[in-house]
Amino acid sequence: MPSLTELNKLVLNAFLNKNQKKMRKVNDIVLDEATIEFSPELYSLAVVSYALSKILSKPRYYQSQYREGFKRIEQVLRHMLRVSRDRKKYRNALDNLEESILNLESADRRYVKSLMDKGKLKMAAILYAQGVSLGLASEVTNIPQQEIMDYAGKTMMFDRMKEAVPLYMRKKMAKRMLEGEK
Amino acid sequence: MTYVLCDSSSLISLTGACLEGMLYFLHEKHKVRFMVPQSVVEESVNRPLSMKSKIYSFSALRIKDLINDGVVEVTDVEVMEDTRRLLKEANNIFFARGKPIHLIDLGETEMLAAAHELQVPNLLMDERTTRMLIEGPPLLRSHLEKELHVNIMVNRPNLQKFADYAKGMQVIRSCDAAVIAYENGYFKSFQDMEKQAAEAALYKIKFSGCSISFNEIAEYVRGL
Repeated sequence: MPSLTELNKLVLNAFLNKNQKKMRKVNDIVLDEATIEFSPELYSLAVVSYALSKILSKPRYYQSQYREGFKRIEQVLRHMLRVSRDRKKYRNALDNLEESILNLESADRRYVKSLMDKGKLKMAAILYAQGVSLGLASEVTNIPQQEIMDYAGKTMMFDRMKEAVPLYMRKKMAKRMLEGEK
Repeated sequence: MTYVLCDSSSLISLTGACLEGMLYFLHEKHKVRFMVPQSVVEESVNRPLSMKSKIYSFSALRIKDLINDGVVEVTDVEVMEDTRRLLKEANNIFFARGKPIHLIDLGETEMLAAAHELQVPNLLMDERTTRMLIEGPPLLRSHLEKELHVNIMVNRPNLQKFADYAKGMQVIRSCDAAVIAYENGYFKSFQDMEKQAAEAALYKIKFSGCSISFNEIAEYVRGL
């Protein structure tokens, strides 16, 4: 069971190595831990690791104009590592990281939705796919249920779990409820 | 006359698919009374209407319209005590590494408590986790194990309490309701495209978030 410090170290290493694939793997681990631990810090770390993996995957972010932004993210990640045992300081550092990511993106914005918002939605949808309810996924990520449903409806998540009630039974229930048939 | 309690997810996917007319149709034709607890109004109407982004405002207004037209009634049944107890039990059924897995939230639990209090066992719900908790907790457990890559332990007494509470509750989804609406002529105005329209509607509801698989839709389509 990796600790918050260890997970933070994994995020920092993936970022320093500019390894997008590794960052996505770290993101998977962080999100699994977040579901089990039910920790807001881990949810936030999952969101930022997703956003960072997207940044690492885009060649345009390796241009010189983004060098300062990269440096700032690295500094905040290092700071997070130092304060990972202090929840309050860690939360502040997470907010700083979120701001640094938004700043990096704002230099040349391509989408209406920011990378952080995209990350939040993606994490909410994954939580729902993992088995957390829609309402809870919405509550912990602060993403509206409508948005999660929109996203989830276009994935295969409902094909990945067996149904407990066969379809003919469900139709029978629907008929009874909606037509008053016994 | 039958009563059907709806959750936010079913109203969201129906309005998202522009198919809330189905509820008017079933309400008029079979005198079905659709009901929602106050928390559903909060989640599906008030919250999206208060958002800075107007992306879900229209869907929220359509739900509000359903309520204003009396097709969906808001119940003010008081179930806070039951809700809190049930929430605690439901979120202490499955354990990973000795820690309880939080599965459902206050709104979803309130809906179950309202169904219990009002003795309305008919639920219209497109959300998957709460439905699986009612219908097939062992399947939900194996799913969690597969997704989280850990062993999931079950607190049997809490599972039993939850099962006793939800006993007799039956859940249908918007897609199931759409099939019944089709059989009752809801898509008749499409004339020779009636079947095609029903099929397209099923896919549209799925893409709007209803928890139905492609296989189930295919099975429904074969029977249209």
